[in-house]
Amino acid sequence: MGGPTLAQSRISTEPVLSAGDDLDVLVAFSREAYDAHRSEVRKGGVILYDSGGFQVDDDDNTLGLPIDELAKSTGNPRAANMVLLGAIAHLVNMPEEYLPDFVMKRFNRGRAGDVAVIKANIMALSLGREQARSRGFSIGELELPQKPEFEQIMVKGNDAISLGAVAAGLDTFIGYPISPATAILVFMERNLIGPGKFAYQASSELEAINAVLGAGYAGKKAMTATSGPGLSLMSEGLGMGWMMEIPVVVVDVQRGGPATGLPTKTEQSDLLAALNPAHGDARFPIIAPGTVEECFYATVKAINWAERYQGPVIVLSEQVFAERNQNIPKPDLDKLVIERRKVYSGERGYRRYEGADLSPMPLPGGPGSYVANASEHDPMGDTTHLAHRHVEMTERRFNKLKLLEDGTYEGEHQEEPIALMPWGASKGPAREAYNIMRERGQRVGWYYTMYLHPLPPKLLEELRQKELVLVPELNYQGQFASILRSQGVRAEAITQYNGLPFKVRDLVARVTERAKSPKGVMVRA
Amino acid sequence: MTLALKDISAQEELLAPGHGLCPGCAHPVVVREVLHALNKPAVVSMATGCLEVSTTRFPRTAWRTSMIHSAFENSATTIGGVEAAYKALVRRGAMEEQDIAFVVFAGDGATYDIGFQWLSGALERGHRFIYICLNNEGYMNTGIQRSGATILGAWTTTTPAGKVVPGKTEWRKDMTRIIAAHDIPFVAQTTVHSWKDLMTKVRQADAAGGPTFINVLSPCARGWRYEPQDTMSISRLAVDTCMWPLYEVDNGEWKLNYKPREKKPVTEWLKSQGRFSHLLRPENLPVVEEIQRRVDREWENLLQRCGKS
Repeated sequence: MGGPTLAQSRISTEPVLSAGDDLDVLVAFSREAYDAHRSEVRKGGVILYDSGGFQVDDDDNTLGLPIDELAKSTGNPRAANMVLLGAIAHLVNMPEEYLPDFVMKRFNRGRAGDVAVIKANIMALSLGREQARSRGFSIGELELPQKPEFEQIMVKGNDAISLGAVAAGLDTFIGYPISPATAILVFMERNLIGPGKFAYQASSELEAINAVLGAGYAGKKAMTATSGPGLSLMSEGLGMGWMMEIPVVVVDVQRGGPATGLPTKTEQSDLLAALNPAHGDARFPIIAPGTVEECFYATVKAINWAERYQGPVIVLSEQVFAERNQNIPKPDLDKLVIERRKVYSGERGYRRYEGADLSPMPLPGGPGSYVANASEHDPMGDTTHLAHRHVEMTERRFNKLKLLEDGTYEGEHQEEPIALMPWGASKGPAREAYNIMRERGQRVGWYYTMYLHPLPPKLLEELRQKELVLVPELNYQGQFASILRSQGVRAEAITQYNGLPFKVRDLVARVTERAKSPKGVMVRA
Repeated sequence: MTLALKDISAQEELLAPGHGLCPGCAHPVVVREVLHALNKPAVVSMATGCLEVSTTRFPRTAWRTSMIHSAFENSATTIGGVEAAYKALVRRGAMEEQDIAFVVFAGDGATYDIGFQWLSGALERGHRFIYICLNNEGYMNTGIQRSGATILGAWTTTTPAGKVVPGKTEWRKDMTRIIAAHDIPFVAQTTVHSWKDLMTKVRQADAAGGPTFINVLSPCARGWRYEPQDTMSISRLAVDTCMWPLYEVDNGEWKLNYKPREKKPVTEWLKSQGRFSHLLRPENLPVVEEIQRRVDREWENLLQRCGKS
């Protein structure tokens, strides 16, 4: 669709936790971009713009570059971005050799034109640098990068999810295109190959969920990925998975809802839907990553959980992670714990749904044939509506959730009576806000877990002791706070529902304000 | 039923310029051809897709007629509800009978795949509406994925072409024929460059007085990998290679609307688009032969159904 697009970068010698509040540098390629974003530039920040394309009222902090003209003068009109990179490099006092080094590596591709391309690009860099220098702009010096002791990979949230799934032994992926989850389907079509591996595109989300249920029934580790509207369509299938006790993983990369909603904006508003996507008595395990790195581990854990308790698990990711490209410590695959379901290998005449606890799962072709039944059933899987069977089976299905109480959590300053506890992608801005408040001497504790259901029992115990637990979350209802309250925690949400992530400064202000008089939890009517 | 460009150009545009569809996109041309052919008040239902996201954005909504956006799968059902409500209102005397067209615009993903069951139901119930499938042979709005309309061998992001797999491994659904099997008053297949054919069919559909379906091939420069200015010539090539024959099924009667003087080989079609470029490598010759075989078979069957063989 022809509309404005933007890309944002944040550079730090410390781990980057959020997108940041203000811009140090805005590069505007059009008047529309300039008008829309100039107010986001911090005091002392600089606006670079294409003076060949449009004019602005010359302000102190603007630097117009005729980028196309400058690029053409290098002999390579496509070097326009390098002109801008050169200017930015000067603004942050980046050592001069970095970018030419990069250009030489990037364009040394063994092609005939490589030398000319490299020469033009390096010239473009220095032209940009000169322009910025001549205006005397600087926005301060970047600290020198420090090479970490661990190996890193550059990865997007959706790719981290895909890699996590593959690392956990995913066999089958069946998906359907939907923003912002499509990249997972595309990854799987390209990479989930080899003996026993299988990926395909279904013709709807209804088909996708039921196909992965079939694969899960047949003994495969199976996953699908979608966003809110797709999760809605999958609700019936998820209920079946719960009822039939079939391991599958559903990734929901949340976008703004309801309905078609805001396909390209972020929101944390599918939590209640993910917890209870299906009608009837069921409550689904949920793991919600809070960083790009956690996208990897959340998915590994989700597949393990599905195998372990034999049922559907939902990974609740977010639009902000989908395309966020970040350097993260390279996961150590040798240290990953990979689980496989308990498979039945005994005699014939097996009662698959016997008892109050998990029982080994028979696989087609093996012993212990049974009816995987979406209707209420007896231990053999045969349909029954007898009252005591429904009681037994309902309790059995909920009882299995106890197997998933091994989630970990973060806790800092646990002695404080007031705690900040974000979930999902609000972790980053909340952590920055927390750091600022602690530095200022404000008394607030920190809790965080990606295991939203079931919550780690010890965490819940600690939270119940608090005077107030503040939950920053991107939805109107304060969904996670309401879940915590239902479990006896004095929780209150700090909500935002504009399709954008929290700004750190807003969180600092709102938490500070609320923490002044912690007595009495406000509940939105 | 005359169609003169002079008259058409004097009509009001119900799809305003300034929308965000890509350069070279055939969708707005098709939509305007449809609305001009109708030249009367139209209630439009749109499934989620390229057309919907690009023509409804604040502050540049391009629609100068009533438009209801549905989800991805249910535009046929939505328009069915609108039409049923209109009929009920007229019956009760709450509304005067008017000459209104009920139109659906939906992509091939919404038509061939996720919305198939819903479309089938609406056709069977007999609502009076014109369903236009804007068929660009893939999910272009989410970034070029395969659909049931994508042909064998085509590259998409979910049917990547590599050393082992040469793009999509399946043929395509013959959706027009599937719809014809519903035995509704009017079903047709057409494409964007043949504006007279397209507009005549829209008028036939409008006059048919029941559920009608027109499958319009709508070339996509981005997804098919060709230069935006080539949309019309590629549309023509689809017809001349018999990749996309123009025909109609009017109350059960099959009629061929155009027979190329010289049927061009499918390689002409394949060569015109980057999504097939890997097929031109010698090792993929069997795929090309299979495509030709499929096209030939469909063409022969069509001629037979139209009594032309």
